[in-house]
Amino acid sequence: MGEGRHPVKIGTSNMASSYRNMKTRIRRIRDFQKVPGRIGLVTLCITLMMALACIGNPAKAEEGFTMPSIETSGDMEMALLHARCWHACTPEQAVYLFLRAFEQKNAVYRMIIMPGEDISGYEEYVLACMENGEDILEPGSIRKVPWEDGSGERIPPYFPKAILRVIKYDIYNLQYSDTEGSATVCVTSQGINTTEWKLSLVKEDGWKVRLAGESQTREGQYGPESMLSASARLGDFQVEVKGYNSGYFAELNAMAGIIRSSIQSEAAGQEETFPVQLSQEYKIQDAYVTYLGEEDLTGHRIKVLVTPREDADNEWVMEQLEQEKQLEEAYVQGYRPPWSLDTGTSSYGSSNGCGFSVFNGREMMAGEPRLVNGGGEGFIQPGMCWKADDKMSIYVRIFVDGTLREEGEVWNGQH
Amino acid sequence: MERTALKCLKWGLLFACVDIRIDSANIEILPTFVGMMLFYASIQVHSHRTQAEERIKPLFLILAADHFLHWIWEYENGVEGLLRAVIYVYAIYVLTGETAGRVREYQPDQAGRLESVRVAMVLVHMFSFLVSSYGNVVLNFLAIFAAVGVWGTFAVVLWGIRPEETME
Repeated sequence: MGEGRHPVKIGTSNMASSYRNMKTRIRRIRDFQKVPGRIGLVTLCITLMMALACIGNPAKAEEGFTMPSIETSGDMEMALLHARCWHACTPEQAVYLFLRAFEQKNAVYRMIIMPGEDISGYEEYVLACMENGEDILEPGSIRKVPWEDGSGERIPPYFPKAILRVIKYDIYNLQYSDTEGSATVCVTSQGINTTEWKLSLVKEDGWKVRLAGESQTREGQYGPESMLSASARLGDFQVEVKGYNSGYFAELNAMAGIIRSSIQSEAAGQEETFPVQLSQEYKIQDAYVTYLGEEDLTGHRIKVLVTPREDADNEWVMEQLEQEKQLEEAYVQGYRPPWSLDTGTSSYGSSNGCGFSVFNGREMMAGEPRLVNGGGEGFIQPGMCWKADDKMSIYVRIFVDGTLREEGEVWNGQH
Repeated sequence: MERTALKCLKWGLLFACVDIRIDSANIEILPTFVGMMLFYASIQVHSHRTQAEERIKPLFLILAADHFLHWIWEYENGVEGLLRAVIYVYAIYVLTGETAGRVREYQPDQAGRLESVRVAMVLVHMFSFLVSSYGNVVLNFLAIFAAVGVWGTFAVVLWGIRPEETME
């Protein structure tokens, strides 16, 4: 106040300059209310972003696990304690840790996914193995525990039995709810047997894995248990469909295992992250046909066509059936062994797992299931494969010497 | 729009949008904080600045400081990241609006395009923010594709603006 033409005299007040100041004040207020043009849109967007950020759940950053250096029993105790504080955030990650623990005989990884009630026993087991210099997968002198039914004793099933020269791990039918789950792991090795592990999963503070069963089958004879199955009798033919999921971790293939083994000694102190989902999972659907009739089909050509629906476009597939003529000619000329399955398969559109097969009638007389078409679509994202309550259906047409003999739908509901 | 300011804006866009790193050292060759400083400079060099431009100048300084911190020190903070995104969206929206206002008299068509691009930028930024939490491959691809498209369009529109000196 009082600047300009009317300087202030102390002890007095001057109203003359207030008008000019008032004018300035009003102009400033008016300017303050000015906002940039079309600011409403960005204000709305910013408000929405802030509101969503406030009400949404925070995203959990993927934490790595640092493998500590272990030289003494004391180091092992600390490492096991450290492992108990790290949690597998998905069932897939828990299964992966189980496989890594087995592959590298790593007691610490196994502790991460050890169910709470087994922790104390497992810790004793690990420390005893370490003190005695025993192999953690097959300790010789470790105190055994009695079977649940009291019929004998066994080494606690913290790990499966050792397998030499593992080639790959296939994870079948991994399914889970919010609190529990299960999976089947098939271990292929350079041996005569294929090993199957049954894993049960439970959600505690993080996902935990328990080895629920272990069995072996001769190489080439293993078939995963189906999650979904359907069957129907079409005249003299029994058609069966099996659906199952098959996944794998790319990190566990043979080459990756070799690389990991070579740097295992340098792994201590380095942070490592584990995959939270399968590298890929396939939704497999296998269709089988069995001839149960009495008519002798020897010398006849049996063509079985599988489509996802009755009205599915199959013109292209029907054209491919002409290839079977070449197969038949080759058979007549002796280029193919008589016991071979003359199978032509094709897939079209997005309906993988559907196609056709051609059989020599004599092969059908054995009364054994013959694979018509098998295969599946692969997914990277979890949750896209078969679920226990899914409907699985196919439409089957059976031709004998080019004439449609039987047709019908096969699905896993009530017929 | 003045020539120098236009140059700063173009170079700022290049530094802010293009992310090239040396993997071994994880160093950004075209640091984003330089882009923010160039945006600040594009406002500062104007002989006459609007009120909106005056208001967003300190925001670009804040963004430059924040990006500089990230450039020299790798760290993640959700709240800080959100605030940075929000301030950046507001500042770049206002800056492009003011730029459109400056060129409207001489190049009304370019001004119109700038207005459209700035709306698209905000919407794409919103879309990216919303889909980022789902980790969906398809949505992430769409967000990246849209962002590249919008920033490319912005660059094309910006390069189509002629400085005031050439208008006379």
